[in-house]
Amino acid sequence: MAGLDKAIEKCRVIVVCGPGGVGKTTCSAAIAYRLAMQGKKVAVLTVDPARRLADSLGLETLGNVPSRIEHSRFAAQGGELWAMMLDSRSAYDEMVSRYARNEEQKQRILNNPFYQHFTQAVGGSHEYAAMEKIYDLSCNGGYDIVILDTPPSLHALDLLQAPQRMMDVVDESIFKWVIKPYLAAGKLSVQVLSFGSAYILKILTRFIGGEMLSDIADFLGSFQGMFGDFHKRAESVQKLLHDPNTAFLVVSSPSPASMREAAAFQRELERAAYNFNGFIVNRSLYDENCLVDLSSLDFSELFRSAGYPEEMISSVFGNKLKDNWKIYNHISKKFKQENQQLEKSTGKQAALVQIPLFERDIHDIESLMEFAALLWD
Amino acid sequence: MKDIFNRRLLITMGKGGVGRSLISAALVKCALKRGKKVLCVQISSEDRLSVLLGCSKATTEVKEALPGLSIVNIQAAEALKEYAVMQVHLEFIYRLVFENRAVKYFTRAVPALKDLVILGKILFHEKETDSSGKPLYDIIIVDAPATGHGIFLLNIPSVMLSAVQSGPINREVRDMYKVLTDPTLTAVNFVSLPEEMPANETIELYQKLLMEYRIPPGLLFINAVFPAMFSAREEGIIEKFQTDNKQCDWRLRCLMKCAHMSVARHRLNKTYVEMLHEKLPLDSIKLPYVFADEMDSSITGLISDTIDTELNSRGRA
Repeated sequence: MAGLDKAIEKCRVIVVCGPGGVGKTTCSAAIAYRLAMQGKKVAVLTVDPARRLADSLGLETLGNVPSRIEHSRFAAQGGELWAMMLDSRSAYDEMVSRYARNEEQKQRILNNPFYQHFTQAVGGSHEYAAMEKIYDLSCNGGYDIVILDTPPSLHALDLLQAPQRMMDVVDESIFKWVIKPYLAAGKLSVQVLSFGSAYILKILTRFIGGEMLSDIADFLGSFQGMFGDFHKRAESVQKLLHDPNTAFLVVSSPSPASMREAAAFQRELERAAYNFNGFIVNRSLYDENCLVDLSSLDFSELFRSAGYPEEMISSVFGNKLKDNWKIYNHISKKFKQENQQLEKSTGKQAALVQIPLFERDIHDIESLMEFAALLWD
Repeated sequence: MKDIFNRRLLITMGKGGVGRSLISAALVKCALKRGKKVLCVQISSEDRLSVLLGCSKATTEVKEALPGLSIVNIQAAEALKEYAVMQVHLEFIYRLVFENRAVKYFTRAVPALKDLVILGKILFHEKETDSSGKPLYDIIIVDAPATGHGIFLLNIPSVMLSAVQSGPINREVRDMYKVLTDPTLTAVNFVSLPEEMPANETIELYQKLLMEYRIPPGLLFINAVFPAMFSAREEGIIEKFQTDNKQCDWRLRCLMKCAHMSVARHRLNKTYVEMLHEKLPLDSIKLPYVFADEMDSSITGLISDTIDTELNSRGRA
């Protein structure tokens, strides 16, 4: 199995993806530490970290801007580690500020009641904010490497095509058909509109209520004129994601179902012409030694020769030990099967790394470094 | 212990990967055993519940899957259409208006609208009656989306109440809010794992739902608790072996390493079970780690039996 070093060599952006609860944040943090120790200037952008992990990263006071994490080990190598937690709302506020034509337009958007719901809703908006931010950091941050700990997703495209979907939503054609006439006519004077538009508006009003419709129309209407810039930006984000120096890593749990999902994720990435640079199978219980059948061994004999007194090993305890071993024997066998499948689909260039289950939680620098060493192994 | 089966609406919430669907399916089985007419709801997710319940696939149409059990997979687009048709009465008008490209974009641009109709659909089923006027379902069990989306969904009524002051949506939403916050009708059941991140997230989720949204809590299910494989004395020997680190046969070392892993896992789990107990004033049920490669209805049966045993023994006490 190849480690991560070759697979992410020369990469400027690393996207760590996978479903929820598999350890993406831990992997991202460990990779960031390791690269900083190699003397790189690294930024890691994380979403919703567990509090203790955040503490170990020095993240507790962080918001939407990168903060520097000081450590003697980076300093010695000339490396730097910067970390930030993505806050979708501030990311959007920033975007609105950047693209608004003037102060009045900016305030109108920020104060619209729908703007807030829109920015905290799921179904693309977090993903979009993450993609947008990674582009910003990569182009304007002066970092050697930017690492993105992505929001959980089962499907690669949900994540990567978020910018495109957002573009669909704010498509110019809404204006021609709905918003412009609405804003022009006001909710009480739809009669002045062409027959088709008026009818559509009337039904819509009945459906969602006039007040809400006008709030929504006003919200979308206030984006007017910003669309051209949005489109350009979305194209640039896609270009960055398809860049040969952008790496995608897929993190998985060691269960057979999860490993099959990871393989499907890879296929989706490759079908859409994104790079795939490796799998990280986290919290594995696989042990090669466990594959050998130990069920007929005479343990008391082995204990004696190791210098332990005979009375220490009752037959009850011996049987419990065997029963317990059977669990790991079974898990290891299953894992090996699935891992062979994964190896086939990984290919020669990409990494396939297995991280054993740690006996303690990973939330300090020492355990993160230990974790990273296994990634690079 | 709280009797959650006398409520009308049970919502299963938790972080991704903690076993929400398994617990939802087990609760469905518990309700069926109590002779309830059950509607089991999935929300635009992969269809996991049908495998866990051992029935045919859930579709966007409600259908009877097992005796006493109906199942449905609510998809936002379908639900929106149904709601719209209900409001404008005629499907051809729906098509004329809502399949207009611009309007499609428009409705997509307001994500709250989609979640609103999902919630609306669930509460519509809550009110459904048969020809004699009796409720069609005694109990509705909802396998909610993972934490982030789940919270957003349950918070929709209060968000909408503040954004929309009048009109048809305001009336609907007022109604939803009443049902969701009524402790005689609704309960949120929490699913967690005895591990750091899921445990912390559950505590935050509980505070949010109860304090901010006023949605009544039900039970806490601590899933996949690793069993104690050894006695305290045996654990001592396993620990000593590990620290002694003597020269010995590799097979013995392997055996003892496996034992050590189980002991460590059990202990770590115990810490988080205790933390959950301490921080959450909820009746809780521990469920065992299941040693199985694939989840199916036999495992659901096992989990629902465990839940019943717990409920019965504590109900008597």
